[in-house]
Amino acid sequence: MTDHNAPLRKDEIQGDVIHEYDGIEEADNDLPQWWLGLFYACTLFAVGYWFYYHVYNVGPLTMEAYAKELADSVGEGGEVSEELLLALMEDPDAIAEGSALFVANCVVCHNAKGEGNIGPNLTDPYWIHGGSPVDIHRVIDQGVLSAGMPAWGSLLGPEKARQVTAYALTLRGTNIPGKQPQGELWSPDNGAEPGTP
Amino acid sequence: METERITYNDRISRWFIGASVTWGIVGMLVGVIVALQLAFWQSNLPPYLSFGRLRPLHTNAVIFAFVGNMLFAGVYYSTQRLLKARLASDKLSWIHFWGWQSIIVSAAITLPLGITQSKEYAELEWPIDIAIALVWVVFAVNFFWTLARRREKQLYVAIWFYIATLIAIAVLHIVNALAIPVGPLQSYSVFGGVQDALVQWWYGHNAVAFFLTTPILGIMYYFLPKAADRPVFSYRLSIIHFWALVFLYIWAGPHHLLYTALPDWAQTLGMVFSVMLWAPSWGGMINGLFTLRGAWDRLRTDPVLKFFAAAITFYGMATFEGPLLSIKSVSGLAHYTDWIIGHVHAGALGWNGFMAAGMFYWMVPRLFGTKLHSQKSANTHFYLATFGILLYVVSMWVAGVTQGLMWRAQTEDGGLMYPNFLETVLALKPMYWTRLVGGTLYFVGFVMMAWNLYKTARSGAPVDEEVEVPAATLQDAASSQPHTPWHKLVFGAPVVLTLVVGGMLSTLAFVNEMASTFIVVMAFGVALLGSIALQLTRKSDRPTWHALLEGRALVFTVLTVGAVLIGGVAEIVPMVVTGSRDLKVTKNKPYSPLELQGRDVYVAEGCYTCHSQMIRPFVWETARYGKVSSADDSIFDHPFQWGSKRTGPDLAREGGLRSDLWHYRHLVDPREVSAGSIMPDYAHLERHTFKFSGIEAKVRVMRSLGVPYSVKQVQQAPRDAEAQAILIATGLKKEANVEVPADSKMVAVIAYLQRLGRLPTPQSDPGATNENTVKEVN
Repeated sequence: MTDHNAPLRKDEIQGDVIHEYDGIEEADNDLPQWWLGLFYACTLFAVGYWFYYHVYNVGPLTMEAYAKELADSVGEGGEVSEELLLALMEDPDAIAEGSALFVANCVVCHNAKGEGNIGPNLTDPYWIHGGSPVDIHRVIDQGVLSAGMPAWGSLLGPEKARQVTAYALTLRGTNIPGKQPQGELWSPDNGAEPGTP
Repeated sequence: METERITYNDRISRWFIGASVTWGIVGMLVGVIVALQLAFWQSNLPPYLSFGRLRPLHTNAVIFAFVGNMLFAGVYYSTQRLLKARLASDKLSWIHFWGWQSIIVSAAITLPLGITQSKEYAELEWPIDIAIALVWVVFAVNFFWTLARRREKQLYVAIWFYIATLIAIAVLHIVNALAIPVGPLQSYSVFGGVQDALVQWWYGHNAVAFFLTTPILGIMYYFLPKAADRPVFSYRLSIIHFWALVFLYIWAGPHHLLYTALPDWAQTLGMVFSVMLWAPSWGGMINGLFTLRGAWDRLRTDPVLKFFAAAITFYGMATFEGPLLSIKSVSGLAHYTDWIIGHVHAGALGWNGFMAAGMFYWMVPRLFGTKLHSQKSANTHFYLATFGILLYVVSMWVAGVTQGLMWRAQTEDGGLMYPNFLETVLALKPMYWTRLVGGTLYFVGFVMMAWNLYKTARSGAPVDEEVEVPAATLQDAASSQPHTPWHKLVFGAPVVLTLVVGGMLSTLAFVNEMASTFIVVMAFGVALLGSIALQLTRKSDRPTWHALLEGRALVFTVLTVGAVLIGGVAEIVPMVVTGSRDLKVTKNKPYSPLELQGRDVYVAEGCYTCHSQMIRPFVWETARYGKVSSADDSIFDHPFQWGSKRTGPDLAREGGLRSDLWHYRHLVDPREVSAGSIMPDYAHLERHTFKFSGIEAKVRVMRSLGVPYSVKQVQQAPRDAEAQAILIATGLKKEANVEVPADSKMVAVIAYLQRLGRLPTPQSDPGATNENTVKEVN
């Protein structure tokens, strides 16, 4: 049995060699101070972190932090009116921006001219969820979960949601042949009236 | 002293090296292919050779086939020499070898066929899982039997690490693989949802710890001082970093689940234990690099030392990056991105791959009694591979950070800067090509090594080393020496001190803040005073407690088991207990039979390799995907499908977001509805059918796991599934004149996707009650 306390030999770099296994020598240098310091510091951090969040409850837990972030982020400008949307239709910058958004996000289902494909035709006078500017904005902003229309408001933000609504309004009534009419006949003067889709 | 001559079993190491190099080429080639598939979607060859099925093949081949065979070669070679004993049984050694190779072959067949449990690095189905457990037991018996017949009483640090590996992998594999078979090649995990997530990442993280780290550290402790011919830097550092590593590692699994529906306390434990792991990991690095003191000049000429030094450096880098990524805010940015892919490859290519290369270049000439065929080729391999890793890791850093930042970028009024997820993927294309170049360089270097080793072997002849050893084995010698009773070791002062301090700290889970503060201060005092007392009572004429322990393999093993088990028990048991309570109060509804069938399709196609189902609590994330995911959302998911990577968008609330027709067109050709998408097409789902009658067994197994299906629902499952399938198929026909067979996998997977994140609708599930109209879960 190896004597564990008397060195076998002294190596000029590694110091006392205390063990030997299959020709492998083992020295017994002190642990580097910086390494020990790192170990202690990380352990202290661990204990401190636990206390901060789970004992003294100073730091907000995950969902609390999220609730606060959410409350802070509720921005202004989500409200729209018919006048606002109609005015945007006359703003070339807004229409250009809305057109780009439409190409990037909407043509997949509503096709390039809005004539419909997976989603309904946006150019005919029939509307499933109402055809007024505010109706269209609501569908774009909040989506129609049961029909496969995503809510774009949270994705795009209020300004872009308004711009793409304004662009969609420019397609209304262009009557491009495409998907068969769905929903009810709608006209600006009378609102929805029973139609023959 | 009487001596005898023994011959080491070196043949087994030669075979394991051959297997490791062969599977290494296969595994890395598949890696290059999947890298190409991400850069160039056209290289997917559905159904068998598309990304979702090949990615698990790549990870399994590299971890278990390449590194597995490499570590068996190194463990068997070094263990015999460190214990001065031939392997206990040649027969067991061969069973181990051929058993492991057949497991690898069955993995290579089943994974492309879509036969999978979908738990990362544990995808293999239950019959193969049983084979793995059996072969591992054979390995363990062979190892511990050799240990019992050793002629060197004291165990060197390499052996400690091997013991930890054997124990931990057995426990991890068996617990994580617990499942109820549905058929000969399918099963459902006994754990569901958040519990399954915790168990899976307890396993996944510690497969890295105890398969890719501890055995390789043991190999480092043997082969590095051999190759450098220098004394190991510090025995006491070995002791400290060994015990710290095996104890702390087990707790760190939940860092894979930060900001998920895992409870906060478990997330915090995962994070802080990962931070505490930094120093113990670097303890291994220091002991490796400082052992090279006095040999640094030889790095210029010796490829073996080059590979070892670089491997240890990459180990240091990866084990710094790991704790960094475990910090919650960093994880918030990096999780689900390519940063993680870069991180694991720094470890796999840098640490594992380079340790393997160094070890092979050192061993093969000795195993064949010759010199390395070409030093020059080995050096070229080193530079090619190093450059390859740097390209790989840097491109993945850039890709990961870029995508993480794009996901969270918001406009001034709160909208997303990049509302279209695809934009954030297409931005990474140049990085995907760069990664492909890096990976290919590494692969080329590896093939050069294979050729070099082959030429070396051919230039020599197999040699089994013979040595002179003391004739008596330890059992014979034991009676003549004073023997410390086992309980004096198991309950030695250091263990008692650790238990007391650990026991005090574990009460923190139960007591209030005043008591917590008091206990922590007390525990600190006890630890400090205890350590001082241990130092003062050390006698220079007697061996230390640890030195005695090193002479007692069984006691050492028992203490290692204890250190390894604590963390897992502390995290998993509370989750399992609360899990069964949550099942009683959930408002969620089980999947309809057809949705369950569709879920199996989702699993088989490996959708989880690119899509997560876990919306984290960030404003920019809920804006994109909807309400934060809760544990209740996935309570019936056996196994869970939270995923770990978002090459595609999160699908947790996909249900109802788009129409059936959109899903149909998207699956047939993703580009048709999502221009530029890199997703493989799944047109084969339209042609592949399933039998409605087979669904009954699936529902029955789910019921046995606690999912609340009634007996009637089980019996009616085939009919209900068919009714729902016909509804979807006729809907598609009506909408766009698309003819899809109702019993096609396409219809089933659409049913599943439309259910994600919401309760059943009366239309979607004729078997469900009416009160659950379309509304979000919970």
